[in-house]
Amino acid sequence: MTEVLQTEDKKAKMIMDKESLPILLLVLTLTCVIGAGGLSLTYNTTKDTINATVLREQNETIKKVLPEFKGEITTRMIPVADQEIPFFIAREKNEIVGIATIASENGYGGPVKVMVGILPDSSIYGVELLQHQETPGLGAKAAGEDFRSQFKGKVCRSPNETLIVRKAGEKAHGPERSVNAITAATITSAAFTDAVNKALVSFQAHKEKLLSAK
Amino acid sequence: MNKFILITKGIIKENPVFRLLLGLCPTLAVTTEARNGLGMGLATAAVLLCSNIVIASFKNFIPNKVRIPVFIVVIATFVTIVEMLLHAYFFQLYKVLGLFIPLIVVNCIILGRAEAFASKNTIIDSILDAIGMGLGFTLSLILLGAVREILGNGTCFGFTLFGDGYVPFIIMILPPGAFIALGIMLAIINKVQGAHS
Repeated sequence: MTEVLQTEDKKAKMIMDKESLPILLLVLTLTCVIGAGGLSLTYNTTKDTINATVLREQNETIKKVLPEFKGEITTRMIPVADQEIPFFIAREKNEIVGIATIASENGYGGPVKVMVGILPDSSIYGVELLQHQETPGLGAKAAGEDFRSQFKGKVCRSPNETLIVRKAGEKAHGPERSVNAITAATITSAAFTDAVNKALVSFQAHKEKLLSAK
Repeated sequence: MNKFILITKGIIKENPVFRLLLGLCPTLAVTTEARNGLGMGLATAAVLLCSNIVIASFKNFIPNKVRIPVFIVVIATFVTIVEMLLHAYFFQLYKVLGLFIPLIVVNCIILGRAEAFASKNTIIDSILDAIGMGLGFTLSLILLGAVREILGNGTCFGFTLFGDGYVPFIIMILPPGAFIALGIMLAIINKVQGAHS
């Protein structure tokens, strides 16, 4: 019994020593230093893979919104409004196949980010939904082929000829401009379409520069 | 003590989601699909395992007064490492879970196990505890995700289960559906448990 008490006593003493301020500081500092070391090690080993994955993913999406091509993609950053917007120029044998760009607009649950592939004749080849937080089963249908395929071939030559969302039963604005909304997801449909419009307008504004780019 | 019980208790008797009701934020947020539940469960289990090992190994050097900050730094470090690894090597999963991974830091299961178990037990026991708790958490998330996915979308792990005539209850994959599904499942589990004891 006394033995047990003695060891308890020793333990208590050890704990007392361990709780002094310099020890506390030392332990916390060491923990943080080791943690930071581990993080920088992981960061350095994964950095290249992460960049490569992001780039590969981006190139995959660019290929989805443009016609098939064998060649290179060059990126040009062009300031539009107060942002730098990337334009991805796809070339085959020095001919421009198409240009892809990214735009976003606020939807129902947050920004709806799209990539739009535009042919040199200013018509849309394909659109992809990059990022969204829309309602599953309703707004999230914007990622589906049914909605996105409507954009193919649509043209916008000036900012007042942008695409317009049409709800069921509403009058169409001509086949070139009208986009059928997803049932029960008008806000998402409008945000998606406005994002595409943004991309089209910024493409139009810099068309000459982009198409003549070397 | 039977070591095996350390694993099984995390799955059934002390199941973190259904019995301890710990870590409900990620539980409710990511379980829109069974697959997301699996990914989140495994990511959490990995962090739990690493933090339990480290904390059990260094428990004698961690002063009592600063144990919580030390635990948090250890956990946050592992969460960030897991996030970077997922981003680099499991990009598809990262795209789905990306937003929720940092939330693992504040998942009370991990801090709870560090405080209640790893800081008082041996490394081996802590590893077993982490495996049990991690499995229990993962299985619960898969179960909840599967129920919500089947009811809300008519699919399970992405496979369509019913014919075209099935009209899904979309609400089940929306946030309210998470509460409804978890509530009903807890009620059933409590009833079954009550009948046993």
